[in-house]
This record gives sequence, C-alpha cells and structure tokens, in this order.
Amino acid sequence: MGQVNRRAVLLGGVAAGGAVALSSALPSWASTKTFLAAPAIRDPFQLGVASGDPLPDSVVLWTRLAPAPLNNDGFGGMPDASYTVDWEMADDETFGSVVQSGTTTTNRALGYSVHVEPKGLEPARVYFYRFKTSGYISPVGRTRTTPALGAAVNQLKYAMASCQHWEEGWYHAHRAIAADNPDLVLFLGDYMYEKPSGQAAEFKVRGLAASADTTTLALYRTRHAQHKTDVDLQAAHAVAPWAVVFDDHEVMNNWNSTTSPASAARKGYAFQAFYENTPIRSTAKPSGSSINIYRQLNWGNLARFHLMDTRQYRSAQATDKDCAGYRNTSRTLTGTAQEQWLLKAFDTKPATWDFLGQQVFFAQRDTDGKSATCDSSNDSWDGYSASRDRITKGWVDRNIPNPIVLTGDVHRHWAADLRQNYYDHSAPIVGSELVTTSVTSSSNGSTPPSATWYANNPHVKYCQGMRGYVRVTTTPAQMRADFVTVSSVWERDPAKVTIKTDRSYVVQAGRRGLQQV
Amino acid sequence: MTASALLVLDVVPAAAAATGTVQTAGDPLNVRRAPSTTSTAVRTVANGASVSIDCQTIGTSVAGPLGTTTLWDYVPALGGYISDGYVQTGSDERIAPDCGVGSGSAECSTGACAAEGVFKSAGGSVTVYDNAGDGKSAGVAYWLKSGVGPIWVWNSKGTGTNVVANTGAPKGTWVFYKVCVSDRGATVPTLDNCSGGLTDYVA
Repeated sequence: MGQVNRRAVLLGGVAAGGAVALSSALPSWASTKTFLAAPAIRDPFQLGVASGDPLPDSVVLWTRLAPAPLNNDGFGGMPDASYTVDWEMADDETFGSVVQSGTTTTNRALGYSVHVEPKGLEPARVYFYRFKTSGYISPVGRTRTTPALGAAVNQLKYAMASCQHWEEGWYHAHRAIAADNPDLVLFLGDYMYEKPSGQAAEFKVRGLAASADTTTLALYRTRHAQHKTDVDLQAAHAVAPWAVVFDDHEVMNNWNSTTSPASAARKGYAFQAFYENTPIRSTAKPSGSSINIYRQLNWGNLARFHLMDTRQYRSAQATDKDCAGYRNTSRTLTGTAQEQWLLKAFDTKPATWDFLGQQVFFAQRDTDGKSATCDSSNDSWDGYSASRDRITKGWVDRNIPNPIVLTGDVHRHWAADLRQNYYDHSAPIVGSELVTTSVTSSSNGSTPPSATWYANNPHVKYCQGMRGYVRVTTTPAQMRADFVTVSSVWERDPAKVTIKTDRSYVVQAGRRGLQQV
Repeated sequence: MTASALLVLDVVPAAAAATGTVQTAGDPLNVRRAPSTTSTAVRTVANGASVSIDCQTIGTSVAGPLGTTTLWDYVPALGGYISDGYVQTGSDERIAPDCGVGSGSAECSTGACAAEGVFKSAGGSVTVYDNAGDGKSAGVAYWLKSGVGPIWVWNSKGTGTNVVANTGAPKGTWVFYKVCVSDRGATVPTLDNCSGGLTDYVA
C-alpha cells in the first residue's frame, strides 16, 4: 500500500512533481510493450474463431479475447482496457494474397468480443480470415460468401445441429461436421444450457466451471466461453460460416410465455451474451430485453433460409391438452410481425428450395390420433395449431415450390411429411420436416414410438434416439438429408466412436414427400 | 495492411515483478500459503525486507500499519502471499496484475481454509493441503484448454497432509482450478466451500 492517508498521498503526489511520483509507481510490466494503453496479456485466442450470416458481398467474422476463459467474472482474464484487434481476409490459407484487412477495438462492455462485417467481397467465394492483437495471432478460419441473388448454383451442402449440453457428452458431432466440409452450418438452438445437467453421473463426461444457474451477465459469458473451449466445436466453427438461432436454454427453460418466465433483466443478460458469442450481424444486437434474430439467408437460385424465432414473441402456453387453447386463432407462436414477414417472403420465389430453420416440432404428433383429445405437446406448434395453419396455408396458397421445415429442440432425429389436416391421413402432403437430434443433450428415458403411434401419425416416417446431426445436400433436382448418428457421446476417444448415416431421405424438386434412400 | 503485418510475435507478458518493502511495527510478517488470514503461515519475512511482487489478488481483509485492505501480494520467492497492508509499494492501487501470471498461485476453500490448493507453474503441478479434521477430503478441481474438466486431485490422508499431482497441461497453456472440501466417498461428490477459481499458466 501507499502511505496511511491515501488521499493526501495521491493528491500531494500529483500536485508536487506528479511526473516523478507516477513514474516510480509505474510497474515495469506496464511499460515493456509498445501498445501502451492496454496491459500485456497471454494468448487471448482461446475460444477460436467463427464466421456467420454470409451475404453475396459480406460475412461476419468473429472472435472473443479470453486468455483465461473460465474466470468467473466473465471477462476471460482480460485487463480492464480497450484492445485493438487487427483482422485480415485472404484467398489462401497462408495469407499470401490478402484481399481485405482492418482494425477494430473491443472492451469490457462487449465482453471482449469482436464482430467484423467486411463489405465488398466477391460472391460465392471461399475466404480465409484471422485476427491479431497484442502480438498474438488467432487460428485461421475458413468462410465463404453466398452466391449472388438469382445466380445458378449446382449444389449446397449444409449441416444442421442443435442442443449441446456441455456436461452430457463429447462433441463428436462437431468433429464430423468439420470433416464433412460443409458450405454452411445451421445451429437451431440450445447452444448452451442455463443450468447443470440433471443426468446421473455416468451420463456426464465433464463439468461446468461455474455451475450456478446463469442469472448474471458474468455467468452467461462464462458459460458461453466454456463451450467455445471445446476443440471440436472450434473446428466446426472454423470450417464454414454458421447461421445461429437460439431456443429456450440460451436464456432458461421455456423462458417466455409460461407460468415462470425469465425476468427482463435476465433476458437482457442472456441476449447480450448470445450476441457477444455468436457470429451474428450487428442488426441482432440486443436492446435491453429484446433482440431481433429472425432473418433470411439466400443461396443463389437454389435455396432460401427463413431463420425464425419461436420463443420471443409467442402467446402464453396453453394448458396441456386443452384443445380450445391449442386451436385458439388469436394465439401465435411467431408473433404477428414475424408471421407477416414470413408470409410476405412467400410472395417471392427466388429459389428452388425454401428452408424454414426454427426450433420446435412443426408436424403434428398426436399420441392417440384423436382430434378431440389434443394429446400432444403444448410447447411445440401443436400447442399453437392456428399459427401453424396460417403459415402452412401461406406457403400452399402462394405456391412455394419446395418447402422444408428444419427443427431442433427434441433430442431425437425425426423425419415427417407435413399436411394441412393431419387427422386426414389421405390429405395432400404440402411439405416435409427434418428434425435434427442433439449434439449431446440426453434423451435418456424416451422410448421409440410404437407401431400404434406411427399408425396414428402416418406422416411421421422416422425417429432415432441417438446423438448426431443432419447433413443436407441440396441440388436443383433434389434435397437429400442424411441423419448422422454418433455411437457414443460418453466415449471420448474418437477411435472408439462410430459416426455413420443412420437413415437418408430425399425430396425430389417439384414432388412433395420424403422418399427413403 | 500487408500479410507481414500479422506476423506472430513471441510475446509472453513480462514476468518482471513490482517491488515493495515490508513494513510492520517491527515484528516479522507471516507469509501465507494462500491469500487468507486463516491460511497456513509458511514462513515469515522481516520488517524492512524488499519483496518482488508478481501479482495481486483479493483475499481476507487485514488492518495493517499502512491501512486496511483486502489486497494480497504474491511473492514467489517467499512461497506465498503477504497482506498489502504491510507492504510499502508507493500506491494504494494495484501495482501488479491479477494473480494467475504464470509464476504460481494458491487459493483456499471458502470459510476457514479447511483446504488449500497450490498451483506450481513450473511443471504445472497441483498440491492439495488438508487443514481441518472435519471428516471430509480436500480437493482441487481443474479444467484444461482442451475442454476437459473437472479433473480432481484429492487429499484424503487427513489433517496436516498434502498430495501432489501433475496436471499434464502443456507448457504455456492455462489451468483453471478451484479448491474445495467434499465427501469424496459419495457416488457424486457434493462440492462444498469451493473457491471462486483461478486461471494460471504452465511455465
């Protein structure tokens, strides 16, 4: 410490020859570097790099400075200062041909996250990118821009994943996604969980560094950071641009329009940490307890993605199995504005395939198959069937050529065809749904649907309870979905884990319905 | 910017420490294993001694001749921490970085420091001390850069003992650790009194 009376010392020191006093008090480590304003740090690129939300001329580049990522204050070991971060994009992995570069800054208010949105890139091009700060250089990421609007595209290969509870398994699925070398990765929610796993010890392979429920911004930041320490997740982020939407656990279980919603403050913390840790555009920067994440992504004349938010704007959940509630036409899962945004998009047909990337199960799953009982989930679209009807009718009435709904949330692979009346088993098929299982989150205790269940829901073709992801290969002629499974997420050694395609379906362009390969 | 502008520099934060002078009423000052007045006194340092401070951290509050403070100074040469209330540094502010600078560190479990954990940067080892005959084990839980953790180092040998284990973390990488007491015999140990956790680096 200084002298007994600190105020006298400090004021006196400044008043009488402050330069000498300050100079002698300045520790040597603070002046040994050329970057004077910011204290020296250890390698801050512990969370990897990512890119996302590609456009024909732009893609978001992301990293977050965190030399000590698990520190429980959420600042990742960064001193309280502003840091300058250089970035560059190149045509080649060795950066011999740099096409763009620049400098940005980050600080404590941003959780030391870095988002760069370069402009003026070429469409349908692969780029490599990296960051530098304080003398350290980041790992190299690979990304790509989308084809120009309307441009002819031969093929798009993307992965879709969801639900990756940290404790409940190793991220073999992400290792496989990286190995697939996709053009794009869709993450459909539950990137992190707000609370520790409730599974038994034998079903948990690792633990949270800060295991308290995420009720503060510091805890959300630390939780996100711990996920990004995973080498397989880092590899999947570095291989291709991602398009990320959240579900409920990025905030808390069923955080909106339930009997126990999250507080506005908690939503604000969760959204801020989500933005900071996601390669998402600045248009999705949260404003207090609201955030705008629904958006479109176009892939030339081949595919259009409608990335949706089925949590933030939904009407209150109906009482379980309350048919009147489920079918009340004034209730909505999307909110009016998002529904109108989606229906308006259906007025145009820029691409062969329309993919609705969203969170909760779209097709009906009615256990007894009787319309009078509403024996189905109040959290999914079944609990908001009028909302589902309006969207389905929207794409039917507007002749959307090839609508496919993409879903996460439920920790099992499913494939289903879509109808406007699911109780009429001969009603026309109007689209299909692909539901990806979890990366790690458990489905322990769930049992496969029975023959009776399938008989009551003949539009549902497939259910698989293992962990994994879905790989979608889209061409002008067909869309193929490979439902990939991981033999065990509790085995860490990749050599002892089998990753395989468990089932494949195709949909032919212009012909409705899943066909098993 | 040219490609060469992003050349990798071999930068590690300077280990050069700040210095201070121990100031007591004349008695020697206790050096504690961890930044707590209930942590084990590992040795003493004389009044007037010059000390080299690698880092500083918040611990228990101490009223010293230079004021009352929760700041503690880590002095690797002494093998532990001394209260900043007894160290003339020329400043009431921080004069060194937060602890976890790659020259070692320690934490107590919360409460009366029934468990102490020491991280040695040289070699990246963890030492777990059990200081209380409470029928529970002392433990250090740590996480590594690879996304693995917690890995436990337990000390169930009883009061006054210690257990050493190597983390195996590669040189230059981080180790995040917490010091806890626990009923080790349980199928799933319930963690009690874990410290907030600290990141340090293998030298």
